[in-house]
Amino acid sequence: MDDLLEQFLIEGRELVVQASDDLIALERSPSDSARLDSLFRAVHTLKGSVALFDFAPMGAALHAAEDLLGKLRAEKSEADRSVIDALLACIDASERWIEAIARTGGLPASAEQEGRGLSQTLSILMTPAPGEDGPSVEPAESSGPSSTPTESSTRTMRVDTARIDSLVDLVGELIVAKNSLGHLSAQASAANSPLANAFAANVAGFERLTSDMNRAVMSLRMTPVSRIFERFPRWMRDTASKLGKSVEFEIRDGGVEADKSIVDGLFEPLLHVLRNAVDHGIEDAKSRRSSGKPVAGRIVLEARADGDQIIISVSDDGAGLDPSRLRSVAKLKGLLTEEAANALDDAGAADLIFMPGFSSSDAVTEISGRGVGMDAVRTGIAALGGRITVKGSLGAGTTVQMHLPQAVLSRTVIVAQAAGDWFGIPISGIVESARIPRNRILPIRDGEAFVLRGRTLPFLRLDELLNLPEGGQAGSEAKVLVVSVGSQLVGVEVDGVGERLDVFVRPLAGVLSDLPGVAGTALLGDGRVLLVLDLPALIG
Amino acid sequence: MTTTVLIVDDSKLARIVAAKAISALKPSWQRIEASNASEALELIAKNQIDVALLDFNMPGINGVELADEIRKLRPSMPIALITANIQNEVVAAAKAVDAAFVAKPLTQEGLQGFLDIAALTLPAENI
Repeated sequence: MDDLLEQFLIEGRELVVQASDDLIALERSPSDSARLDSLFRAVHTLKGSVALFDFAPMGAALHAAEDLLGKLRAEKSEADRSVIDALLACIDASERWIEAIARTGGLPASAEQEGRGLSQTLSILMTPAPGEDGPSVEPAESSGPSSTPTESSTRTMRVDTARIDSLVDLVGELIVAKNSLGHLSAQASAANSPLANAFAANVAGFERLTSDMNRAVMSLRMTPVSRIFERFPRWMRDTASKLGKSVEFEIRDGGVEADKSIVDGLFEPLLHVLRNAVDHGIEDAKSRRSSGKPVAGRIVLEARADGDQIIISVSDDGAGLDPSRLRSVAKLKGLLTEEAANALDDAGAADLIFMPGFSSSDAVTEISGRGVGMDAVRTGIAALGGRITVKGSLGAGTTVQMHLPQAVLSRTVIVAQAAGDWFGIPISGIVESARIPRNRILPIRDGEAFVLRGRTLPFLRLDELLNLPEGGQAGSEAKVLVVSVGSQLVGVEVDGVGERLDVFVRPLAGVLSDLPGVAGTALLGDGRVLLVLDLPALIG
Repeated sequence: MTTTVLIVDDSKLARIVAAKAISALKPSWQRIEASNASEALELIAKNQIDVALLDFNMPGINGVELADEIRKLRPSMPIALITANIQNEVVAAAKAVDAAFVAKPLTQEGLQGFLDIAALTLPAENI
C-alpha cells in the first residue's frame, strides 16, 4: 500500500478517536471551549488529509462539520443536542470510511449519498432554526448501526484480534516474570534485611499491578453469553415444531460474560443439550396431559456468574432421568459390570449419559444416537476447562449444568509433588486438602476408600494415576487433595503440597496435544516447566 | 552550504506531503521536520535554517504565533503559512509577521511561487 495512504489511515484513526473523545466531553460540558478547539482542529486536520486523496464525499462531510464547528467557536455558542448528534454521525461515518479505505483502498458505494446527507444536515444546523414550521433536524440516516442517540455515551473501537492476542501473550510473560520476581523476593526476605523487606513490599505492589493488568486485558476479550444465546429461540421454535412438541423457552443470560473463546466454544455443546431437552426431555402432549403437566413443556436456559466461574444450566420439566433404567442400559451395553452398575448411586447413574457409547434405546424416549451427543458435549466442555453434570428425577424433569471458567488467561494452581516431580493442579477442581491417617484408608474391592465427614470417597494416588513409579508412602498420614470429578468427590494422595501460583497455562501443541489428563504447561519463575494436570480427565 | 527548509506541522501526513513537494521542486535542498512550535524553535536555535513552512492550525502555539517568534530570531527568513482556511483575520495576522500563504492541500504548483521567491532572497550560492 502507498505509504502516504498508510500514514493517512494511521493518523485518520487517531483523529477520529480524538474527535470522538472531544465530542463526548463537549456533550457533557458544552461550554468547554478547549474541547471545542480540539474538536475543530481534529476535524480540520482530518479534512485536510482527506483532501490529498480522491475521497470527495468524505471531504465534503468533514468540511461541513468544520464549518459548523468554526461557527460555534466564532460565536462562542454551545452545541445543542442536534448539533452533537450530527457531528457524531459525521465522525462515525468517517471512522467507517477509514476502515473501508483500509480494506479496499477506497470509499464504499454508499459514501456519496451518505456524505451528501451528512453535509446537508450539518449545513442546515449552521442556519438558525426556522421556528415551528421547520422540521426538527434528525441526524442523517447512516448505514451503520452506531447513530442511535441513546448510545452516544458508549464508544467502541475496532481492534484487530491479532493485537489483542499479542497483548494476551505479553501479559502471560508478565505473569511469568512476576512469579520469578516473587521467587527471588522470597529468597531475599530470608535475609530479613531492610533492603529485602523493602524489596518484598515493592514486589507485592508489582504483583497487584500485574493482577490488575491481567484483569484489564482479560476484560478485552470478554463477550456476553447472550451473543450465542440469542441464536437459540428461533432454532428452538423450528426444532420443537419439527418434533411435534410444544415448548416454552425461557432465556436468562444474567448479563454474564466470558472469554470469547469460551463463549464461542459453548455453542455446539449447548445446541446438543437443548436438542436433547426438547427431543427426549419434553414428552409429547398426550403423555404430559396424562401426568397432569401443562401441554407446553418448559425449557429454561440460564447463565449466572459464580466467582471466577460461570454456570450455564439447561432445565426442563420433562420426563427426567430413571436411574434404574440407566443402570440396566449400561449393564446391557457391557459398559459396566453388574457390580459396578449397582454400586452407583442415583447421581452416579445420571452421570452415565456422558459415557462414551451410552445410548438408551427405549420405545418411548428414542435416545438413539444421543449417546454420542452427550459424550461429545462433555469433551467439548472439558476442552474449555469446564465440567458438566446432570441431575433429574423421574417424571419431574432434568437439569444439565455446566461450570466454566470465565477467562482463559491465567489459572490458579496448587503445586503438588508426586514421584519426585512437581505438577500443577488447577485450584478450581480442588474442594479441599486433608491429611488422612493411613490406618483409615481401607481396601475396597480392587481399590481403596476412606471416610471424610461421613462420606465414603475413593482413594487414589497421583503417581499411580500418572503411571509413574510409586513413591514411598512416608509418614502415618497421607496428604490428600479432595477433587470433584463430575458429580463425585475423589481423594488423591500426593507426596507433597507446594505453593499456590497464578500461572498462564499454555495448551500442549502438536504431538502432545491429545495427552489425556494434561491441561497444558506453565513456565515457573525459576525456569521450571510445570505440567498442569486435568485431574477429572485423569481419573475419568 | 545547502539551503535547509524547516517543515512544521503536527500531522505527519502533511509533513510527508510537504517534503515530497519540496524535494520535487528543489531536490538539492535539505529538509528538517518539527511537529510543534517548541520543537521548531529548538531546531532554529541549533541549526542553520533558511526557509520555514509552518502549518497554521496546530494545538498550543499556532502557525502565526510561531512565525512571530521566528521573526524575532530571524527577521528576514522566508516564512510561509500553510492553511486551508484563508480567512481575513488570518491573512491580516500573517501580513503582520511578514509571512506568505500557501494553500492546503499542498501541491507543487501552490508551493512553487513561495519557494522561488525564497530562493531569490537567499545568498546567491544557495539557489
